[in-house]
Amino acid sequence: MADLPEKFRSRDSVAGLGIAAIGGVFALGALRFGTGTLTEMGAGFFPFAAGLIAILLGFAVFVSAWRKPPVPITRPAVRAVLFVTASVVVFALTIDRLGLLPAIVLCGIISALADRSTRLHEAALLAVSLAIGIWLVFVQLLGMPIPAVAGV
Amino acid sequence: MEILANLGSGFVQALTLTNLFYCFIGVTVGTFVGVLPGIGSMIAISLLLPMTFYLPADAALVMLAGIYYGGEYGGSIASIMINLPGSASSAVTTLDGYQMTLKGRSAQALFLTAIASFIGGSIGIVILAVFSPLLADLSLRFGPADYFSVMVLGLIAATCITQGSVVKSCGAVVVGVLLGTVGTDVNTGIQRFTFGSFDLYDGISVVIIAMGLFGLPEIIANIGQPRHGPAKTSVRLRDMRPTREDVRQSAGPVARGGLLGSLLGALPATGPTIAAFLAYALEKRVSRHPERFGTGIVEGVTGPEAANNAAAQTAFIPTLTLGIPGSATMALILGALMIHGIPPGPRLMTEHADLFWALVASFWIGNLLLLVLNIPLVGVWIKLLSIPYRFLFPAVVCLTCVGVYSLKLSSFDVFMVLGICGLGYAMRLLQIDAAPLLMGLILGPMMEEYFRRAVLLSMGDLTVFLTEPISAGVILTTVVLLIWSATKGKQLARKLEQGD
Repeated sequence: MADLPEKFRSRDSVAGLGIAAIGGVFALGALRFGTGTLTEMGAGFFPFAAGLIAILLGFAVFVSAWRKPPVPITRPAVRAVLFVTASVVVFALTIDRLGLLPAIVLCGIISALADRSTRLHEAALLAVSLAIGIWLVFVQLLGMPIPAVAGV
Repeated sequence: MEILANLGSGFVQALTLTNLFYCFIGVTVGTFVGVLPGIGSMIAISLLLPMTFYLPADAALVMLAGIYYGGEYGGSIASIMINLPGSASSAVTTLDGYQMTLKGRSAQALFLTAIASFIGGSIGIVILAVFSPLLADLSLRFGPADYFSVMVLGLIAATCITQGSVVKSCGAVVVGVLLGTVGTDVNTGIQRFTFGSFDLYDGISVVIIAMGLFGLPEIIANIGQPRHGPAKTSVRLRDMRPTREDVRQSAGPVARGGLLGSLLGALPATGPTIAAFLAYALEKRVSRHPERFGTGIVEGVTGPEAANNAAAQTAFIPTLTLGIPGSATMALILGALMIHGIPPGPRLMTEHADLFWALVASFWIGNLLLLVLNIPLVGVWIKLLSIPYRFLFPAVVCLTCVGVYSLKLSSFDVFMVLGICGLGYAMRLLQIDAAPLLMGLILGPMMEEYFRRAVLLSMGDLTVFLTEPISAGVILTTVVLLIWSATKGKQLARKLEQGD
């Protein structure tokens, strides 16, 4: 990134290129479903047309960014991103194997630590109470078929 | 008179124990998230949406709607007590509301706000009950081409008043439409963009998109931000009684705010936030002492609060009668209807008339409950303001995971919400508004259907959208709106951002 000209790293040029890229991926993919004709539209017609529009809009954003002074992209909150991502991944990996209560406790502890000032014992206490509360509402009250602890 | 009969049966259905219970839950949760800055009704509705799969359709909608208008009540509490709006539509209430707190009049400000909200909401409900049947009758004449055009208008209108660039928001709409094409194509049965994975056959769930775009990125952005201190004053019930002067000065602003809010709420894109700002501007304009606004006068609080609550009610008019949501939150309500197997559109009013009237009746019951929640129990909500954010957001993360998992008991969906969160957070960093994306996602499949039907009926003639009279009128409006937003709208948006 660093060696790119400054204009390319401007917030709106990245936004424009991103929108155009998503449009491009969908438009290309849509071709495989067959676009058909106007009287007999294929499954690919609508996504192809929408993809083209996205490409056009993306380039419009890109071009208008080019004409303005560059605006830097907001810096991401690295710690929050890492901890929240980790907590969701851990939940997804443990829910089937360990069951609802352990998955929520782990997810709760890890996500709570995303805030620098939260201590471990606070996080654990919070996570355990969340697990019990969610279990009560989802499983007991609403009757969702999720085992509290897998294998029990 | 037919309205009264309909309303009567609506009240009978809304007053069943189940519906009353979920109405209460809805408005309580709404007030709760409304009070807390950094968690809005949008997040709360997406968190509770998966739970409603286990409820009957009427109870589910009564609850979700309750969260929405309940949030309008709660938002003003934070504005008045700590000078920080609990929700965007209460931002303007900070101007005079917090000044009243500084003058030691917070109890009266809260009382007047609750009453103004109730009256504003009631005006909105009356207008909703009177005009919805008329609009539904009119829309029965819509053909597929007309529907397509109205949806385009709705989407364009949604992009015009967002902050930042209109073109970027249009881009977000189209990205949403594209994500909406994922899944089985209803006309040909072809799998589109599923990569052969069974998990994507039904498309990407609205719940996943809403939680991924709004819930998680909002939290990540708010973690570690410097937070507000607790409210300094406590509020006692006996301090709440407003002076005779307060009541006299509020009557006009509440009536004007309620009517203005009702109008703006029903229009696409101009929701409660714009309504509150414009009501404030209107009061300042008609006042004989405009210089006193911002110093803690009651007109500056009651007018906007009546307006945003009225708008929150009339926002349901286009959503329920046309099936076209005016905002991302309304799009989510529409998604909830579809999840419960109720096709949105003009026929909702005839085929599901009982549901419609039960909802209308529940709105008024909900507003009555909110009055109780917000006057005698206001102290509880003020205490809530002292809960630190770091103890709240883990609950949102866990509820997101469990809610998404409960959709299909699939951990694939949990990974998917993370992927959408990545997209949502990137959009946040690039300052692309996510609300238009959600609207595009929900309206996209319907637009495709109407587009196909319209073009099929016209034998492949694309000019059908300009030759059908209703459609042509709507397209013309859209073009005018686009030109307006490129010129005048920019100035208005800038003014709104500065809170002028």
